Amino acid sequence: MNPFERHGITHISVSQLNLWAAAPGVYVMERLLGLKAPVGAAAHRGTAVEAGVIAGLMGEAVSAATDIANAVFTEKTALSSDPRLDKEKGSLAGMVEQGIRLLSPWGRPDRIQVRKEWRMDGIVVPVLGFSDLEYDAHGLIVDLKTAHALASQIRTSHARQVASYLGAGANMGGGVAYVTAKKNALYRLENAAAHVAALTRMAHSLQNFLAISADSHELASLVTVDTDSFYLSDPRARQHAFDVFGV
Amino acid sequence: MGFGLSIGGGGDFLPSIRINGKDGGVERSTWDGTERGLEVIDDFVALFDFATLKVGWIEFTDRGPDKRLVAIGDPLPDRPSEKHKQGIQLVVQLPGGLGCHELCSTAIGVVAALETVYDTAIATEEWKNGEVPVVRLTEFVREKTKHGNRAVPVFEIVAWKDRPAELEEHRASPRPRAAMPASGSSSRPAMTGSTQMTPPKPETSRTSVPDFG
Repeated sequence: MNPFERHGITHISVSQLNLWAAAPGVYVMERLLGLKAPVGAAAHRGTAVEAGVIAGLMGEAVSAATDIANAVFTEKTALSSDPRLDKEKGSLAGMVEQGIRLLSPWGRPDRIQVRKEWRMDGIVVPVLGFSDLEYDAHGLIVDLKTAHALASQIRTSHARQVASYLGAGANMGGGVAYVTAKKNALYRLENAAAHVAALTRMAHSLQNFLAISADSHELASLVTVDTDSFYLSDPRARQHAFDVFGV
Repeated sequence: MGFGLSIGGGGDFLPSIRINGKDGGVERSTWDGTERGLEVIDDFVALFDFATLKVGWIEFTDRGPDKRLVAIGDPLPDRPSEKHKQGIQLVVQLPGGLGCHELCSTAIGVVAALETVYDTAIATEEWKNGEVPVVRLTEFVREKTKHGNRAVPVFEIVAWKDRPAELEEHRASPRPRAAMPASGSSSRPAMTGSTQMTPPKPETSRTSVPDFG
């Protein structure tokens, strides 16, 4: 049995690998020990804005697209006690508008939320992901990202994500669309092959780590966490970290 | 000092074991770089040292196998050609003073059978204690596939022994991650992209043909 299957992992995703790279302790806590804290309001903001922007690109008016984003956010955060709830909700309308303004000149996307499954050399389990927007006429795959400050370049973790979608498709270029409540920018992805190579390397490091033991608690004893990390900003995640790592 | 090489010394190659994954049977090539020879092994039993296991791409040619192998845990090298198949190699030690041999195969049934005994072996306490399994090929199971006949070997662990020093020399260890070469030819981390993309210009309707009178 391969190291992934030994831990019940049937596939990996780029976000999992990014988490492994950024916070191995949190990866062990969430993915191996199953101690996941509820997703914060910021993550739901991304999902809601994406729904609104896609609706706008498919023909809905901006006001209707914003209503869709608000509805998704309200549904996703119905039981959330995240103190940033109001701030995130207040930014939805601006982000949806900026997203539609940024992407509507590219036309209606040919496909949205496209399942991408591919394999890395030497890694037994497949990589699974979903691209946001695909444009055949422009040969372009775009991922939409929301933030409160506009990025001046593609973040490495986002570059890896889009690069992985290109790996599963043919003759497509990649871009990352960043929107804030007031600004927007669409950056062209560079060096996709190098980012896929980096992902493969990260997957091997995870595979090597998982191969050390079939006991998740033993693996947890090999790593620790940064308690100031935003991954642990939720009080429940912080408690899980204390329970597992004692810090 | 010199170059530290041992060119011309002879005896640089391990003799090999060939398991016939089509018709069954085991042969031992006695070629060790100095003398050629071939003999049938009726009862194949050997110390299987999975610490020597390598995986990767192999092409068997008239001039001998072309192997591109790495220790388990290292990324597989790029496939050199369509003729190269995925395969494995490990070092086994035969009894009766016959010494170490390479066991190398790309046959699906043989590789699968070796993977089964490998999985069984490395899960044991004996393996964790540094011992090496004595494995016997008990039979061949004949199968018909859409590609033709196949003879799948059945391996059985019959005992455990301390690892001889002779096998220790052939241990295959994954390279330390820090020693892995950077991807491609670049010596720097790859840029992600900061060039803003401009949307395509909307198609303008062609103006009417001017009136030339």
